[in-house]
Amino acid sequence: MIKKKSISLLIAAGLTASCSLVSADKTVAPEMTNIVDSQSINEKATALQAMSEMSEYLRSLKQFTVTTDISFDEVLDNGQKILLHKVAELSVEKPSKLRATVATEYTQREFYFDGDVFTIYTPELGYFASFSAPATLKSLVQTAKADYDIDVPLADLFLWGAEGGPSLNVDEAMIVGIDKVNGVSCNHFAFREKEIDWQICIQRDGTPLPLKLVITEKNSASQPQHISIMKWNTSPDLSSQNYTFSAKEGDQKIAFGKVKTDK
Amino acid sequence: MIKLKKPVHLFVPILSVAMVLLLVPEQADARRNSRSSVNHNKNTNRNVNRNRNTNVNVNRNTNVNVNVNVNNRGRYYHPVATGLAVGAAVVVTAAVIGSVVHTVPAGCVTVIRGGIAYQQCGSTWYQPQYTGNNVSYIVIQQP
Repeated sequence: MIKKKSISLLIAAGLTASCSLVSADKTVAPEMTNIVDSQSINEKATALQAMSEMSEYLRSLKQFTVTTDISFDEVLDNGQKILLHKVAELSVEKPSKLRATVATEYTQREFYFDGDVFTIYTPELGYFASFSAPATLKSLVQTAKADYDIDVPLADLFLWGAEGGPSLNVDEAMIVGIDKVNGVSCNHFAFREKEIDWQICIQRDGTPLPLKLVITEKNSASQPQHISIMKWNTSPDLSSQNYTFSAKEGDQKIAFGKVKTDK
Repeated sequence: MIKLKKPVHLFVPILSVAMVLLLVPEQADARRNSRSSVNHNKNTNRNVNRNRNTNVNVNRNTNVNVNVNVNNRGRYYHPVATGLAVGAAVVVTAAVIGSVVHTVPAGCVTVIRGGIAYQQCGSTWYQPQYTGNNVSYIVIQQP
């Protein structure tokens, strides 16, 4: 606990938590039961404030590219976890243009969204499928997941960075410390929710970008993890970027399998 | 593919296939992947998992058709997690209509009928479809 306090004091110096938040917590603290001390409340407020500032910064970006190395567990029937790797590259123009590629050594997926039509394409098979989605990236990732079970890479970016901001519903939040991702210094926070624990490292130099995101699933006995390490370019030249899919010769349009069914 | 003359003989190879599969430790099929986003979509249905379970069973039957298939064409992920590391070459009957597989056997040909792409593999026909981020193949009647 002493170690934790000293770390959080260290972090507090580097964070921009407002004084009003801190003083507000002090007035709340006496009403709390003894299981929640003012220290943890301060940490939670500070961590949520950092998330809020990161989201605000993401909203302020008109365009960006981000490359992310993703390590993720695949859980086998016997409960064994296999850690696999893939790389995702995203080009984004707000409010509604997205181009993404996800690649492993074995296969590739391409994602196109021009504000109207979303297309997923598997180049090595020549198969693609499309659907129409509302013209915001938030709506796109939500529709893709809910109606087609498609995971758009780094979907959180579009939900955190959406107008209106994120609605974080965390049970606990902790300041872990200062870390470095690809040589860039960042503040490391850890959050707990009912179904997942998650961690984020947010860049420290006044450009609060997420550099690392770790999700741990608690529903599964194996507790699989999904780790994204991000490299950002917030002033890319996207003038020649194409967001509308155009099929090559031999490509075939196929359907989506039935996804939306009764529970 | 060997055609069995008498239906009663089906029982023995199917049973033996099941026994073989039980004895092959490499036969590890993926049940699920780790969750990729913090923001949980409340509309997400749980049917996905049920689909996956179905696929796993179907995979087992299908892989039996294949000698060694390390050519992971359709899946999003690595072969270890898709049950492709099967060494046993066993012959079974044709795939069941409506079943779903992640890969089609070697030697299939693309056939376009009515503007729709199919994979014809001998007397078995597959229609490719996206299930989530992956292409899978559903066994259909000859179109």
